[in-house]
Amino acid sequence: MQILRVVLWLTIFSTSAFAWEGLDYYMYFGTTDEGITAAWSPGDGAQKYQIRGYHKEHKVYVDFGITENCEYTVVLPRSGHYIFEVRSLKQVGTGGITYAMSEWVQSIDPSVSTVDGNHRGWWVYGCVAPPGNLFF
Amino acid sequence: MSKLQSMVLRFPESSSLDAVGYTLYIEPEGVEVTHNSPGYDLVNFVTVDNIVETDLSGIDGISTMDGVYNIGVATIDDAGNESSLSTMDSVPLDFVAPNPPGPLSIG
Repeated sequence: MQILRVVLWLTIFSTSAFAWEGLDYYMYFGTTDEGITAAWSPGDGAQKYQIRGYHKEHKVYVDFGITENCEYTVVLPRSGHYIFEVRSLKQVGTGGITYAMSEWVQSIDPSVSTVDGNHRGWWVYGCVAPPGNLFF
Repeated sequence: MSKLQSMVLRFPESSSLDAVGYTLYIEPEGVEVTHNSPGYDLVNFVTVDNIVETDLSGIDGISTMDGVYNIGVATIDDAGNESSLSTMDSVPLDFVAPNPPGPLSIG
């Protein structure tokens, strides 16, 4: 499995808003058989992080998972354009399953996302995976 | 009516969950095969143990070819997107039957 590393810099409880359509995004390309790793900086008080993707063509959210780490490797379930989103979770009470959650931060928001260390929004395009080597 | 020899092309299927088919592209030897090359949808393929098999002699347009070719196969997903090509160069194809023998006689 090939790893394509991208970085999402997370600002916990971010309240920023942007007119994203007018900005210059960076596009990462992968395929649906690759692992794509997103990373982010820790959020204050965060115990876990939830990751999801927004599939632009189908206009649906895809739940990628929850991790205690500050990075997560995703295999895209289908081809298309994805916006990555992350939010922080902190357990409240003693029930064990109740969390306080930050807002989602989005990879297309240049105030919280970076490309090569510079603030810039990004997408991931997942190309359909090619077949294997041909033989007769 | 001539009878063509079968020639079965095989490849591991795409790992994409939304893959629905494959397209074969073909060019004469010496010409790079690309998505702009003449293409043929593989409609009669079977998948056995994750290996896709298709008989090239059954594809209209290919079943009259005789020569050496470069071929490539792309995965198609349910949105019509195509993958990059898995390619094989210098493939000899001969689907042109020889002329029949002359008139039969009993001497």
